[in-house]
Amino acid sequence: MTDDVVALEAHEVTRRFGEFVANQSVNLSVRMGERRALIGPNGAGKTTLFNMLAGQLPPSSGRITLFGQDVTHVRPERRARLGLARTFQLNVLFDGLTTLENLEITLAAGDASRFVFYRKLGAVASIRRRGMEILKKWGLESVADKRVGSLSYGRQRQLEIILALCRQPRVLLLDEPTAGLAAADAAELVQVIASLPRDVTVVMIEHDIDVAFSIADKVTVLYDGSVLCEGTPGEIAADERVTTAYLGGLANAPD
Amino acid sequence: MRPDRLKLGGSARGLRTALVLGALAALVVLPEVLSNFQLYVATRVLIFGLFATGYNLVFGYGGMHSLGHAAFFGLGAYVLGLGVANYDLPATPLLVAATVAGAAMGVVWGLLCVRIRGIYLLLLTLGLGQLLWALASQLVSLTGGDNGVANISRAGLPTGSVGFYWLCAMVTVVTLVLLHAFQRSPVGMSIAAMRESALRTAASGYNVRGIGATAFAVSGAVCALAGALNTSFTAAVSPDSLHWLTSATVMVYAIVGGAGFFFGPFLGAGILIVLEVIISAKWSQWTSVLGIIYIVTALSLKEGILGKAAAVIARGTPRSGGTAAAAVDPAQVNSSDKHEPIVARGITS
Repeated sequence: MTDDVVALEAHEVTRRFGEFVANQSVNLSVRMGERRALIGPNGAGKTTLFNMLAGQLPPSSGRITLFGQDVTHVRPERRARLGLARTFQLNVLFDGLTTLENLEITLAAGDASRFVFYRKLGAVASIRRRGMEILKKWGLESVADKRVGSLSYGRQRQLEIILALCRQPRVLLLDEPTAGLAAADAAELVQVIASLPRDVTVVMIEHDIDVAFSIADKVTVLYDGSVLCEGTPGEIAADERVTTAYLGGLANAPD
Repeated sequence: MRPDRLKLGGSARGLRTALVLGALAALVVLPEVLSNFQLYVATRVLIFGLFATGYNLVFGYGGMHSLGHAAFFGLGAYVLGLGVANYDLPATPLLVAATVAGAAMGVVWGLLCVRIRGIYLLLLTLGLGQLLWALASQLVSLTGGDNGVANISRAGLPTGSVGFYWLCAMVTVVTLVLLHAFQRSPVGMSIAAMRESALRTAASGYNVRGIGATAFAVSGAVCALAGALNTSFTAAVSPDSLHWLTSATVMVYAIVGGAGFFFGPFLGAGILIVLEVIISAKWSQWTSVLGIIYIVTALSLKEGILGKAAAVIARGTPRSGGTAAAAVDPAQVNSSDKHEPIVARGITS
């Protein structure tokens, strides 16, 4: 961990939807190379906060910085090119296109390749070779030409992660990466996340507390739109407020 | 059953190559074998096929359902028509000017239409198109109003019917080749990506506003070029070229032929124009026949004629990887963040 550099920071970030306050004065400071878990009961505002960090949603007030640069009003594609990558809680992929095309389109977005309009996508800047290498590494060669919409849920989930990783992001936002995965697949994925190079900053929403605590250097607990507490997994596990919040949250949850 | 994609096995790819070569050969032979009237119909097919293919970049390929593309066709038609009739300019540079004008208007439309989808995009493009139609009808001193302008000379272009056919054939083939290459390029693929998910396209680092503007600009340029050719072809231009019925017609060409396929809209234009000529010569009920065609298309040709053909071929030839063309569960296809079944698969193969 590089202690002095703050990779991603939210400063007094508030988001309202009409009367409803999804996030209230959230402060979050993630250092470069840190693995941070965001936990909290349903409706705590975790995904809303993610959408503001990645740029899909503008905050009602407050500031967001990426490596010290104010990105509060910077559009998601600019943040992506500044080195931020994210996955979505529910798979958001190019369903009608093939696995390889999904990858190639994502690779092309990383540099000036995306402006080429006269050569085939795969023929530009060795994108085809890079794409096939990545598919080989993840054991997805056999489905390279399959439409992504026809792949199994697990494969799609895996592709979400691959697309987020394929351009070597500096900051990686993972929204419940293991959700809906079989135990073995989830364990494998946790292994991948844990073995990411230490210059990659990871912020992860995770419902599985064991997964969150095993990966995270620090855990932030959101409750009712605000930060309830923050600390090492050991500190959080011992914090009575967290237990109370979770029990209360679960008691109120619809299912 | 849906075809997995039109990325078919080797024999089917060979079939496609054979069909394209056959079509090119037919283009060359047609002037030799057709009567003057039939060649007139063939030229009309070329012009409207070009229009429909350009339109489909936004419609089927981009997944943006425009009901205002007559505006581009009509814009091109008027640039050439008024340029020749009012200002006595030569036709060739006017063809270029019409194309540029179409692209410029496409940028504006693309920026206006960003993030608007479905029925609202339909309404917005309809409104924009009708605005131009109303302008053309009312600026009588410039446009001739509802009567338009007639007797527009083909000065600078081939004047004979065979020569003009060749001009249209060349323009169409060259434009289609360029458009096909464009659709497979990174910029073109980003349009397909935005059709699939604008959310992910932006999160990947693409400027979706720019992609929308690009799609409309390229599409608008092609449609305006077709409109300009049509003015020279018919020697006249009227507000009909801008009317929303023209927009609806080109949308129907795309749907009937198969909006998910590059050649679908062209095929749709060809079939419907030829059928109209044949049937309306013998029977006054062409519109009824057209209605029946729409119903058949809606009920049993959901991805158009080419979609049906691809499904049949895919059933016949197992894919080279050994996996027979997998049936895709429609529920799965429709479960994500996109909306329209018309936007079919296989367009990028």
